[in-house]
Amino acid sequence: MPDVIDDQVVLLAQAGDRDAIATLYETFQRQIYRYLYYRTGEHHAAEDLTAEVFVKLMQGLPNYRRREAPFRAWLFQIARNQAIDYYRRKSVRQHSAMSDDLVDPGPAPERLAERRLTHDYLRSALRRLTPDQCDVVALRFLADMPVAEVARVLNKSESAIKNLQLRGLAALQQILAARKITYG
Amino acid sequence: MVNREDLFELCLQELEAGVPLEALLARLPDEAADLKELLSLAAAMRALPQPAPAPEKAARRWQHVLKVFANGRGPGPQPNRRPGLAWAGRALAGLAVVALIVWAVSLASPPGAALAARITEAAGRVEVAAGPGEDWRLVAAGDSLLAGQSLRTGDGSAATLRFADGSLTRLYANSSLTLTAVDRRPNQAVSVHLTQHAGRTAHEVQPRGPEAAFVVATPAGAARVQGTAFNVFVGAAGLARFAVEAGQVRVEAAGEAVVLSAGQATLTLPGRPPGLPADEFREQGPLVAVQNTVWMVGGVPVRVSDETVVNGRADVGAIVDIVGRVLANGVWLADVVEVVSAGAETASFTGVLVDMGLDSWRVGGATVAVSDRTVYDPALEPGAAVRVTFELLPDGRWQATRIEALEREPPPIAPPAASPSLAFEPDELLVAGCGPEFSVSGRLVNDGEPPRDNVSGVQLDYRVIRGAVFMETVRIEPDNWGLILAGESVSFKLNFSLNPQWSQAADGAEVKIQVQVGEVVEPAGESPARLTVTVVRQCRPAPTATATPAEGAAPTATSAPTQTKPAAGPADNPICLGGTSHPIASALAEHFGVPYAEIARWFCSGFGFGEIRLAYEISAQTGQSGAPVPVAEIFALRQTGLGWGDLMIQFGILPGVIPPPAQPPDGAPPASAPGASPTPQPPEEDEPDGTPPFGPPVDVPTAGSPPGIPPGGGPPGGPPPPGGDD
Repeated sequence: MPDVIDDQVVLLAQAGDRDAIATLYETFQRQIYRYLYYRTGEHHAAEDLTAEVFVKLMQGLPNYRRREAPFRAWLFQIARNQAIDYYRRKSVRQHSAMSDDLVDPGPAPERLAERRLTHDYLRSALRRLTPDQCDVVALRFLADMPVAEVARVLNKSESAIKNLQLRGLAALQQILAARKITYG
Repeated sequence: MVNREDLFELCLQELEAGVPLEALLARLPDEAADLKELLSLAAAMRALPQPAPAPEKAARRWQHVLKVFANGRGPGPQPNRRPGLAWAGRALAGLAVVALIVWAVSLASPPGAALAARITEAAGRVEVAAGPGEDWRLVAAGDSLLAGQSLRTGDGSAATLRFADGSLTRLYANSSLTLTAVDRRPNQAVSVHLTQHAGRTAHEVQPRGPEAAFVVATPAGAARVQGTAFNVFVGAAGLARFAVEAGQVRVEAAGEAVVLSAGQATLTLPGRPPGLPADEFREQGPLVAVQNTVWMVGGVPVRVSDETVVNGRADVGAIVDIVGRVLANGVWLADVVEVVSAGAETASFTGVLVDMGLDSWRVGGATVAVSDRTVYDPALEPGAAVRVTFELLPDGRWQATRIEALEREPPPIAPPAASPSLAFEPDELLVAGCGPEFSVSGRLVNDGEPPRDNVSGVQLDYRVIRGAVFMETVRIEPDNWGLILAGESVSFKLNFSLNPQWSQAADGAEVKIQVQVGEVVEPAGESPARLTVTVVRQCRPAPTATATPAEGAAPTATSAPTQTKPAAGPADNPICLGGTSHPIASALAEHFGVPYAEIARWFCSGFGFGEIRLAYEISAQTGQSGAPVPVAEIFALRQTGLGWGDLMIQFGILPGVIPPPAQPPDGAPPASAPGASPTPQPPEEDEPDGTPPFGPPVDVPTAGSPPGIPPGGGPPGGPPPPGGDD
């Protein structure tokens, strides 16, 4: 399934073509789910929110204008807003900045057995990043978006995205190292 | 000059363009060495198998999207921002919504929907009766089944009904039902009431609101659904079995109800409430042996009961097709046994995924082998409900061929726990010793309510909160669990070794380690559970003391104290002159059941009332598990220089066991030891940070303690005894 969608499909969807709208769902539902999975850290919430994103998509499609944002960036803006609303509704702590409990207070080389990176470990580690860092890492490396598109989704400059990208990865690398999680 | 951010982005773009990571890293300048690790991480993230929603879930969510939109929920389109064209914008937006609603309906509804069920399959002998007592007539695919009519199938026959909203009902051989009522609601949803008289049916029900229920009634209860897939079996005695493939089904019988989730089944009997939901199994294979109520089918033992329905002659050697339930004790209980002429051996069961090992997984109470032959969703996690299809291996193990996730909604009433319901029991451990190696056992308990508070993905972590300078290594074994069921406890060992500095430390040196739940996958959240392990260096052998308090003499000990109290004779204190009865001494004597004179003698020997209380408390505590250690021995040890904390460790008394002292009674005179300065002094220090490590809290009155005892160790007015707790 391609990551991008032809403008013609979007236009057909706007005109009410049922196959086009089903194509949009088929094309993007996995990406949206994946982003929300890492963003919320919860499997079921990600599934529910994915459905909500497409409800919002169908509601907003008549007003979508290509010149304002590429379709995928617009869709991920909806997804991001859903994630933010989710945290607001649940009044849950969105992310915790890297805290002392990740800093080993004493020499303890055998503290944890070495573990390989899995999406589950990654999901857990991403929750330690700031929301912006988490957004950038998830969109850039897990949704495979280019910097320019991430900038559109987050309404930031490309240089800001590059900065967040570098700092987010560095923080993630530290978190994984503290947990003895290896990769590569 | 390219800055680091841009350089990193350029590297990422090359990676995306297909440049091998190794080649890219080799080209990076030395000053950008730190970026290599980050590039490796980026590449590793992109190479990870990614989680995905289960396909059947995605399809159901899509139906949900359509349904929600068809119901017109949520805000409408944004208003047009150009005032001059506001009316046009609103009109166009309205049209768009109407169009979207039409798509939703057109996607969900079959063409040619009618106010009846359409018979879309009629294989073999399929008949319809216009009503009770009416003649049966043969029907064919394409005919309709109207409200009030009945449908039945003969041997080897089958039929499928399709309702206006796309819901399907399939009748297997020798089954019959009546379409009691069918009604189309204004929002296009179809309400269906079926009454099943016999046989086996399967239903795929389109999502619907509460106003358009899909109900299957039987002689022994009814199933009510809002959108799901499920099966119903009705036996000769009116027994009914309900089993759910997807979604939820509410089974009502005799005024009670249970809710079944995917992979669960229940049995109902006429006039009795439904059984509790249970995981289910299905098996087809040769009946190898029969021993009383246990049948061996293939290599799997299955129990039969009086309620088991057996269709056909089930002799050894026959091929049987069995559906049943996995009981809480792990027994596979057969509900329906069909003798079939032939068929491949198949077996499956449902349960909660408990543990995911490298080559075997635990599902419910069963363990299945997992290999590269096993097909499963990589997004599976412990705690998920799954259906396992397996084959029997020659060595008796079950080889999983397919493990698929079942969508089970959380219980409708009990909300999921806000945080993991985990606790360490006990939450404090104390060890004393001299060597560098220590090992203690701990227990982590999930004290939540089943099944709401099951916790998955538990990872233990630790922090050294005191004495990190002595720490060499720490290992927690095991340090993670895939699933801890509510009510379950798990054990672990904390092994640690201390470095050579420990061997040179003074007795009383301490290391404190805090074990905590570092990570929980589900429910995600912080756990407040903490276990504090205190290690105290204790190398000096405990001296033996035999002294007993003697009239007018201080207790003696085998080793002389290195420091003595200031010279002050009993004559200095009225208590020791025998002329005054001190209320605190009286209270202690009464509390511990000893003569007043005994307390007074210890006091006049130089011990404060606080120390006297501690000595008697320690003695009393040691008496809980054997002969009490004489108070004289405790005082003798104290005089060797051991602190009260040391003494408690030596006698194995845990922190907090000894109650704190109560406040002095009104009017009680200061409890000064003989010769003490009139100026109050603070109690002896136990810890550099002022926190007594093992001694009782000193500022909380407790009902069980004698009143008026000054806190802590030595006499308030005198210097601390030699060699305090430090």
